[in-house]
Amino acid sequence: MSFPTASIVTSRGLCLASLICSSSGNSLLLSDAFCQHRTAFIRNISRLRTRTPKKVYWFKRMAPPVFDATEIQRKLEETPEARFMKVGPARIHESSSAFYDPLLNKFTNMIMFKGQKELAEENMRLAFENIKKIQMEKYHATTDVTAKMRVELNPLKIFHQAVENCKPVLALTPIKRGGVTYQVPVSVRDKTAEWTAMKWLILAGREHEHQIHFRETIAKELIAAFQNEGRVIKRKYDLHKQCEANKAYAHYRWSR
Amino acid sequence: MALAARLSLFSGTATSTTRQTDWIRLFASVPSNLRDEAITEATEFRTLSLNPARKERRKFEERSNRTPDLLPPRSQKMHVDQDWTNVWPTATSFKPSVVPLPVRMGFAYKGANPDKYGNAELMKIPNFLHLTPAAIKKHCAALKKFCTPWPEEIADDAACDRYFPAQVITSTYCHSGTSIRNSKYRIVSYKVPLSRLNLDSHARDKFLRLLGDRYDRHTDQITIITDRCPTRKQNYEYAKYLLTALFHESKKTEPWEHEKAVADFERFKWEGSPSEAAATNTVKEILTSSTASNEPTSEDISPEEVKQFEEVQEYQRAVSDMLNAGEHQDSVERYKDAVKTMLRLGRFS
Amino acid sequence: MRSSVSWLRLRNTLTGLTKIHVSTSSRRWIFSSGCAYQQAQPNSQNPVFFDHRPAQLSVTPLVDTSVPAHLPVVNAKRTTITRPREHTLDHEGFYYCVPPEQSDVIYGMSPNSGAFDMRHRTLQNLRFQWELAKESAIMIRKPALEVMEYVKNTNFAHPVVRYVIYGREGSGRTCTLTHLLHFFKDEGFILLHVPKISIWSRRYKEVQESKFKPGRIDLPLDSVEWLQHFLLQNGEHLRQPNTKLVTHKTYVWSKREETPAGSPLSDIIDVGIKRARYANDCIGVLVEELKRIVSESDHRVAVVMDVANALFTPTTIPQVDKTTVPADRLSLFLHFRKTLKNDWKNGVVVTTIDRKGIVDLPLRFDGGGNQFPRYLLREEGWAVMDPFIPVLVNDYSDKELTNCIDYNIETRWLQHVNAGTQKGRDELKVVSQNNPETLRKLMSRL
Repeated sequence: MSFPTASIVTSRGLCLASLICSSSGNSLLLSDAFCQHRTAFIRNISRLRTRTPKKVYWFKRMAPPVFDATEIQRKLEETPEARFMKVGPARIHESSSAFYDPLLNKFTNMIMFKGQKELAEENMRLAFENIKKIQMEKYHATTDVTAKMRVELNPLKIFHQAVENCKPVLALTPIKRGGVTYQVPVSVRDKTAEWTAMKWLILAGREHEHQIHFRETIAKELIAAFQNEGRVIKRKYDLHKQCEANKAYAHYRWSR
Repeated sequence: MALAARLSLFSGTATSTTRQTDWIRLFASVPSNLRDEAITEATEFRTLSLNPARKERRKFEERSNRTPDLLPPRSQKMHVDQDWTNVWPTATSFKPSVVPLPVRMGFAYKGANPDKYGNAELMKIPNFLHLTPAAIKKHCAALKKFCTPWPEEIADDAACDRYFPAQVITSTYCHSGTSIRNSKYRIVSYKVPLSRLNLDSHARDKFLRLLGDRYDRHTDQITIITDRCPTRKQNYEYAKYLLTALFHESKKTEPWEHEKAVADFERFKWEGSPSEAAATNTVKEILTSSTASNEPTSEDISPEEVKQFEEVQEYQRAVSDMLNAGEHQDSVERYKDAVKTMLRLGRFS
Repeated sequence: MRSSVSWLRLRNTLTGLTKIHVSTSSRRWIFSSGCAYQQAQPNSQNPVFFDHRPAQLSVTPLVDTSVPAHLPVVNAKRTTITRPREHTLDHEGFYYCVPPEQSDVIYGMSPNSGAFDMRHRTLQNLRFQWELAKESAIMIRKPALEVMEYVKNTNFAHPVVRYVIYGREGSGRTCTLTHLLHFFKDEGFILLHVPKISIWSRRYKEVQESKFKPGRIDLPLDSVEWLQHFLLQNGEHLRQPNTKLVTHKTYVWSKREETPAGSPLSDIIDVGIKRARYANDCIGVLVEELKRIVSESDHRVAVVMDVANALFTPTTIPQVDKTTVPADRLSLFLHFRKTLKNDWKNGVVVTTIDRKGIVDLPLRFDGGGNQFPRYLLREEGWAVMDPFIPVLVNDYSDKELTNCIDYNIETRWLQHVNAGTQKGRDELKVVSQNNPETLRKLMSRL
């Protein structure tokens, strides 16, 4: 299949090269398919490879998927040809939902085992429900208006604030100098700190006795972390204390 | 440019510029924009360039590759109400400038699919642009004078089915191979509607059981396909024989057919069912406890009479419909209405 | 330790239990709320204080305008009419509040409710909603209004009319039943309420051979639980002086124990509650006597049964030969089947049917959507129930859905910033497909 295509390309290419040299008056007699839109022809032909591709879908060359409706509209207005372009498959976890939250999605993925996302999402749903129940009780228990206003009822806000509160600023990294390994305090990138905070929260949530569910312990841990209390916050402070103690090794970070 | 230089060499010392341009015009392959250059350079000292520099050669090629100013494609000037059959009268390969459609075909690794211009994929496939409805209409109009009138008695499809219920379908193609005989030639399919056989309910049931999957209940068609005999005639006769045998076999009633129990019934039977007993008892109870004087008391009334009440009759129809046709929203609603009427509960607005 | 106590208090208020059963083991688990909560043994260091009454619920709508909310303020449509008899189609989709003294009775509480609560999960979720909103609000919906209309038009001299409430999973059958339960309570009916039949075939507590009829299977602890539930719901009828609810013959339980003829039905119940061994037979006697008494007296009985089709499907109770006990050998099932027949008067039977109530496998292969009564009741159920009135519970209409979302925003259960916006509402509508249960699940995390 590939061979005839290639030969056609060559013969027509030659034909074109010779014909272009003729006078402009004669060009009307030429085959319009090949001559009038020569550039389009060459562009299209050059895309036809002589070798049959093994995979039809080549993700790298596809346009990246967009899940936001307004973003799609903007892209289409910018490049009208995008309407005909191949778009890569949409990522399964991203959505244009009004309730989509990337950090929560990340957290859900982190608590997931064996790809059981539905179970992980159900656990998060029940954890958020528990958070709301606990906070609603607090809300109704308080009588003072200002105190009531301070009770946070939104589980998503509690979750975000809890992760923010648990983020470590410093971390220890082992660096070997003169045959001795030192635990050297280093600053943590924001992304890493976020990951660490979530990991600590999950580990704290998983430390529960038999028959108490993860969704309850994680709810309690999140609320505690939201109030700057609890095991995870203590763990962060412990780490910071250790970093403070190892301050003397800090120069090993960059010196030999 | 190199060519121009060579040309001017041949011309020797040019005395008149007009003469020179005339002479150059004879060579149609020299683009007009080069001519002036040749003229200006003619006045200077020129080196003999037998093997011109690559840079210059490329420059020339680029100039000659420039797209000429050509007319726009024909499709852009077409009117929407034009006669397409004149534009595309016969079968021919695809011409992008003639077809006013934004067709795209083929595969590209990057970006959009190739458009119609210079698209070899579009030219490879056969197109049916000459077989538009308008073209076919024209063909038919031209062929009309060779046709005989349709018989008046067969006004529509229903009449056709009435007068010719049976349908025999055969295939008469030749085979393009070492043998001309097509293997499908001998196969006969015989179709007839079941309703035209005038069977009673027992015979119909038995007939359908014997037919198996050869009956289509949506179209009420029996289809018997015979292909075991070597010739078409034999297969056709065998199909007719099969139909006759099935017809007579289904009319027989074997002794074991009487052993059918309630659980074997295909359809729900109201008579003798627990539903009947329950409904009859309930209605009798209601009549007994009713204090209204204009209604008969239970002493006067027998179960047979109860079954004749319009409410009970409607209930019977609703139950039978629900259990036979399967439960769905409508049948359950009908059952509900029937029970409501029977139990005298009135309507809910 | 301190947090443990506060957690306990919280759990107590959430579940609304009157008393906590303390077992011999140091800890036990309560699933009554749908979640497991740890319960510590009370001791001198860890005192546990419990109210004897559940948290008080308010009748008046809770519009807490003093506390500013970050979501736009919306007011759900409500009606102040608390008598279900007066609800009409004009109130469709509105919320009304059950008076607190009735709401506990409707929910029914048994002090011993332990690991396997007999209540329907939906009923528990409803109770949660009531506790968290500090009001017992029910949405007025068409099927409940329809049944109430029929009951109002019923001639009670006729044989009892059976209603079968059916519909898609999560469409609100149990909540409809709750509304009707309030109606019957308000009308002065004696309630024969089984919150979930299938609990007896699936999550039974203790099994024993029947002494009354060999071959039958008794569930003593479940029976005691139900008798307590019955007592709580109908205490006022049973405790009346000069009550007509008396036995018509002498029941001999053992050589020394017997209930003489003419003793009140509460005596029978007491026997059952004190001696779990006879609880099953007590239920049988209770059902028989009630059917007999109400047919002759001015008392009226409302049989309200959730997942009634489970009465006609096999149980999961294992036998020695590795088969399971069929439905017609479980004595509780046989007693309650008697209430479904229409051989008595002065009563009404309202049941729901549920696919989940059926234990056997074939349901998995029926295409997944058949919710219709004849299919779920099967041959045996149909023979008992026919002729009955099927009442369809549809998913929320758009009006009801909007009001439900409004209500949840108003009670501050819905907290997401986008929940009140048009986009959020549209998404809730589309994703839940107007199904109330799916909507509840979606809203629970927002």
